[in-house]
Amino acid sequence: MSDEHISTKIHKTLAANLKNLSAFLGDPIDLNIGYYGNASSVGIAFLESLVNETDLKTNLINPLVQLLNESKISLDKITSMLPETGARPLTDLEGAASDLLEGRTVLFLDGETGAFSYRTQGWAKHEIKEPKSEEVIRGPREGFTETLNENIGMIRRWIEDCRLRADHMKIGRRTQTKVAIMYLSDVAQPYIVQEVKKRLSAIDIDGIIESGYIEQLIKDRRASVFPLTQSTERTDKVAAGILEGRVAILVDKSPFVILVPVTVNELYQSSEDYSVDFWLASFSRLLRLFGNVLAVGLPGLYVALAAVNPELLPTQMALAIAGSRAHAPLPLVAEVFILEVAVGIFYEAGMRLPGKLSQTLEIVAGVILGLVGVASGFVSSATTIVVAFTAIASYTGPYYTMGIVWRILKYIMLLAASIFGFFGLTVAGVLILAQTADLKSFGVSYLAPWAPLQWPELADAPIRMPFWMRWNRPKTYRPQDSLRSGGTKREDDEDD
Amino acid sequence: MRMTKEQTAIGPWLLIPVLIIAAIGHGMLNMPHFVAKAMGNNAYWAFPVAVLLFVGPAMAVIYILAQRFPGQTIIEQGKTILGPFFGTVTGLGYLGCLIFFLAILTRDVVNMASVYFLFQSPIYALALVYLLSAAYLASRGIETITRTASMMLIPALLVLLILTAVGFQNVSLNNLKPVFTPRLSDYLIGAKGAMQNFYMLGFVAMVLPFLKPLNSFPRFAGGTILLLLFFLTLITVGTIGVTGPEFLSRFAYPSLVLFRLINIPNSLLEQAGIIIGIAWLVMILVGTGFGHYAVSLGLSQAIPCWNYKKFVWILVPIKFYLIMLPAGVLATKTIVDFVAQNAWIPLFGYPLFLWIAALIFNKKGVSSRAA
Repeated sequence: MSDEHISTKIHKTLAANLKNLSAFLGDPIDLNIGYYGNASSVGIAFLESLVNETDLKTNLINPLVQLLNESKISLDKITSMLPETGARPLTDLEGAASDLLEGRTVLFLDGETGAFSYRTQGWAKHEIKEPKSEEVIRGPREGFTETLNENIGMIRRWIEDCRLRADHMKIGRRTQTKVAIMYLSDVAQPYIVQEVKKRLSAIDIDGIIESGYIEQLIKDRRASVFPLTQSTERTDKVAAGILEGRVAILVDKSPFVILVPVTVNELYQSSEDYSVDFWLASFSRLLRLFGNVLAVGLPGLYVALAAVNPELLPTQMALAIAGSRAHAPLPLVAEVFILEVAVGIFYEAGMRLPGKLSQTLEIVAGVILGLVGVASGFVSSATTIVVAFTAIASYTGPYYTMGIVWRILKYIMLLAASIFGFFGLTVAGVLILAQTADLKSFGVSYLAPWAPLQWPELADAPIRMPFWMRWNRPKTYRPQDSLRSGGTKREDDEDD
Repeated sequence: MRMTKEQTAIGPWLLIPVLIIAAIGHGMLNMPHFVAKAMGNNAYWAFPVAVLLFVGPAMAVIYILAQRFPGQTIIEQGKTILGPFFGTVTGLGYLGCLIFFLAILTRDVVNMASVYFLFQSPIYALALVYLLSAAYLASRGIETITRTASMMLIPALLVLLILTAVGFQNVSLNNLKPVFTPRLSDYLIGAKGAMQNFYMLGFVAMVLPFLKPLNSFPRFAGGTILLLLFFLTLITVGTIGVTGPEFLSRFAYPSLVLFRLINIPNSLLEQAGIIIGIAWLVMILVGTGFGHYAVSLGLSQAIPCWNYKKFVWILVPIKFYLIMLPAGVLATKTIVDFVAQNAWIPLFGYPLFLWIAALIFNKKGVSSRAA
């Protein structure tokens, strides 16, 4: 993974230059190399994901081929014949790599110790939308598409660093799906990268239709209900993850990019948290955490307090709940369970209906059925409030899959609370916590930075410390280069 | 079938939370009872004296043994120092004491849960749920147990600190006087009573080989003891200040009184004590799981025919039987009281015995440098 042994000098031998350039970039999947001329005396290199191929052919390759047929050539002659391409002289391969990453095309001539790069930029320009599942108020509106090269290009546009690697492989005996593994070679922990490659190589399946297939096949504990990888459609989230030392897995024909390793803490962070002031972000995070605790624990807490341990409630509240349930025909736990299942069904139905129909369904389900249910005495108003609040709270988390997990675990908590009240609720909570404590994602504790306690990392957990107080990359992912910021203190900063 | 030795390592920030959680969880509800019974108004001095006289030296001995016999638990150290036969016999005796102690502890927890949460539920059901949960935790291994403890350390201590501080609104300073007692023997008796709250620290002898780096132990153990000292003293001062020592010596779970008196006007819950109840139950369940694991690991080393996971489940019916011993019988009550008050002697005494035996038999082990 070290670049030190690769010569950055431009040699007289064309093949050596192109080979070194390719090695310097880590032999990326999107690097295209072509030879022209009778004795293959001219070589060009460009990154497919970042160039406009039409412009490339029209402005560079066609005139070049014509020129090669006509006379003996030199670099200066080629450049003088291509005035509209913004030719830029190059003295070493480092500059060449840098230009490639900008989307330019590099041209070498056999026998010459110099080179030129030409303007051929043109990345994906078809409609790129904001991902529906991860919308933000403030932040980029860019989501991945179904084309691997475009997705690689979008990440390259975020991170213009020649140490950004884009290794590749094909998975699926029949689909031969292209998969790219992107990481920063001097930041990501080599053994994590190796582990990712090992697990991907071990997949033996006829086809990969979506990145979700890979997610399920590479997770550390395949039977676990918790997500042990993170998938996202947001380009900014993937770029931020790579900068932290994580590894991104891009799958052709899937707009969802997988990021590993992941911690449960990561799944509560929204990309918007980093776009707004740290006060606002911290407040939002605390609300989000509280919302998620309620989403998983509120129905159980309600049943434990109202049905098993009512003596723990204030008298007025206990009386109010008992009054609202005076004519309820079902035991409390059955009432809560039925309403929870009903909300789950409305949610699933609403997800698959077109927008306007979905709104109609929400009105029918939420308002009409709720009102009629309470008015008829079939369900109590207190239970309706609890279930409705739980449903709303379950949407506070930014990660969709985690929300579903909590919805499942909510039923376990409900069952435990209905049998053993507070005792059962507490024991069930500890067992669920122990289950998460048992998990690892590519060797990283799923509960980090809480377990093991990593005090500096807690600055980006329930709250978000300001950038000027966070100098290092999260140690959780064991980055090789831990220093992130050289300090951002200004001379006119107050000492507060 | 051959024993499978657990291959794992934990850092100090994983070991320390489980010790704190287990010790506070075990001691927080009934510990003021024992110290007040022994010392009266100024029982809060029992803790620093206990640390100086017993806990500190015992932890030092455990560390010295771990340094001399790296990678070995106290059971393996016993075999090395005393030979396979005597090492196994004394080790099994030590583990038997721990099993009995853990059973008594679980019995206490289940009784408490029954009285305060589920007085209509049969006690065997609660005992079974609690035991099986602790066994599940234990079966997941030291890493999972310590991570679970680590996850809940900050929230549990915060809840405890805030609510204890709120409870101080009812403290009467007269209950805390005189600050010093003239009879020195009272401090010794009080320290012996306070030892019950440090039992769980003794279990560290079973898991110290997993700590990496081992030389971080003195620093982190010192911090742990100081933190424990702070919390135990805080709760004891609060409880004595609120109720006075006479009430404490009669009532088995006096801290509950402190927490039940916490009154936060217009709060959702009538008594903030329930929040403490949850925090306590969480801490003690993890603590019990930790103890269960430590004993199972020890058994797998003393009787190396099964791995610790099998012993985890073998221990469940044994502990269940001990828990279900009839409570009203005088013999049971005598044994339970005796074990509760004296279990610290084998817990801290066995390492001391091994250390002395190592000196006598000139078993030097390896130097820390070689380790």
